Amino acid sequence: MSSAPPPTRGPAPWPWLVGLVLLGLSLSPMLRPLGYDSFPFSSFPMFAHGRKDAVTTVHRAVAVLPDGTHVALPPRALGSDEVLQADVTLRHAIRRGKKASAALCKAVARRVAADPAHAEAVAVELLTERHDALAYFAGDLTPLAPPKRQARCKLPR
Amino acid sequence: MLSRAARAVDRWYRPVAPPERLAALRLLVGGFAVVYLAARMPNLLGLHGLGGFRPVGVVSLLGAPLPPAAVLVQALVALLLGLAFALGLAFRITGPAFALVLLWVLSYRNAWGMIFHTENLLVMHVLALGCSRAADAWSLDARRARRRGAPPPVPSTTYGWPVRLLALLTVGSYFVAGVAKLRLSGLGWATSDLLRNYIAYDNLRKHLLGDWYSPLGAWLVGHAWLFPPLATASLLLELLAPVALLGPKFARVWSLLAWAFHFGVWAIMAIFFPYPLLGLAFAPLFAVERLFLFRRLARPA
Repeated sequence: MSSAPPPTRGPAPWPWLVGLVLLGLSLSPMLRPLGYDSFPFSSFPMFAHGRKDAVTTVHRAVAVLPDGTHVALPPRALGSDEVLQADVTLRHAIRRGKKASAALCKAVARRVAADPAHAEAVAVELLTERHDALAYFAGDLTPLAPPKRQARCKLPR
Repeated sequence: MLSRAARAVDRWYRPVAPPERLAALRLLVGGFAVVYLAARMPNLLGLHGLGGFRPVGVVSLLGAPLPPAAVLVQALVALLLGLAFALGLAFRITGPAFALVLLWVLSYRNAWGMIFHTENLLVMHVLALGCSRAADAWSLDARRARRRGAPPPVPSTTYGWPVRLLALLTVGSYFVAGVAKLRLSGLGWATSDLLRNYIAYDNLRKHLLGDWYSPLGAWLVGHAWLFPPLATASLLLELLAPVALLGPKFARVWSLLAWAFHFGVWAIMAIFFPYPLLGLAFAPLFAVERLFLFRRLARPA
């Protein structure tokens, strides 16, 4: 936009129009229903909801070694380098049921099989665990209930 | 009386500012956007492998995910337009075009059940810059205009209002976040164990999902007394964000505290907000054209 240089005090309608629209949209989530979240205009509700304790359900993908030991798989095994995107992918598949969980398990197994870092792994499992996060970090690593296996699949070799 | 107040508001919203200040913001914000897009390219191109397409914002126009080829094209177009935006090349077209394409591409990235709140303010800033004359100085357009014999741009309200708008968007986003906490949890957000529970929960899920978590945060949650003061300070920082608009001293103090807040979030939750941590979110509150970074550009040709 480099035609003629503007005068010291330029015309007002365009600045005000852009300002009112953008600022209005960015403040509008305050008038929306509680917890409104969108992009790029959000009420930023993350960590704002009431959380009376630190008990949480976590879905995770693990590699199973020949002796049955579980090794946590990183988010990229679930198809994303972003941990929270990987978390949502797991939640979504598990919520949709056995078929979707099995399909995700197979996709994870294909990635794990191609990763030399997991050369010893023989299978992949999708698990759901319930923990008290405060107790966990105080040293009590035992889940509140036995982990629930949502899917298991062997690694393609 | 009313018209006098309106004139005062107009003078505040549209202050006279040097073209270099807006240009510096274009370089900083545009440069960041390009690097950010390039760094996120593997993620952007791998989105089709994820399940659960849940469109948000402008991407709500789509009924289904785009084919991988279209995702590749939109990411590359965003990158190229971003470069033109940052360098100030054909800015009359590339400025608004990049703002819209960035909005689209990042909305698409956020349409998989997870909204990355680190990106909201970046997009808002690029939208505001794209609607302004941010390439009248320190740009390829400006160099071409100089060669044609055009007079150099002088300080004007044309360069002042976008800077003010960027600052308003920054403080507005923090204020909105503070209001959300009050609306959803009341003052209990600051006085209860809520923040401690969130920090424990967030670190645990990252740990179990095989990602980085904060050992410092995991240790701190064992000290319950720490969290109500931390939560109170965070909430006050967000709700009092508008004071940063009262003048340079207020802007300095608030920006420093807000930066410390994000550093704390990084240290105890392993959540990295690059835009504020690099100072870019707060840049519109300062005379950024005086930064050492721009000294070479500021020299007369």
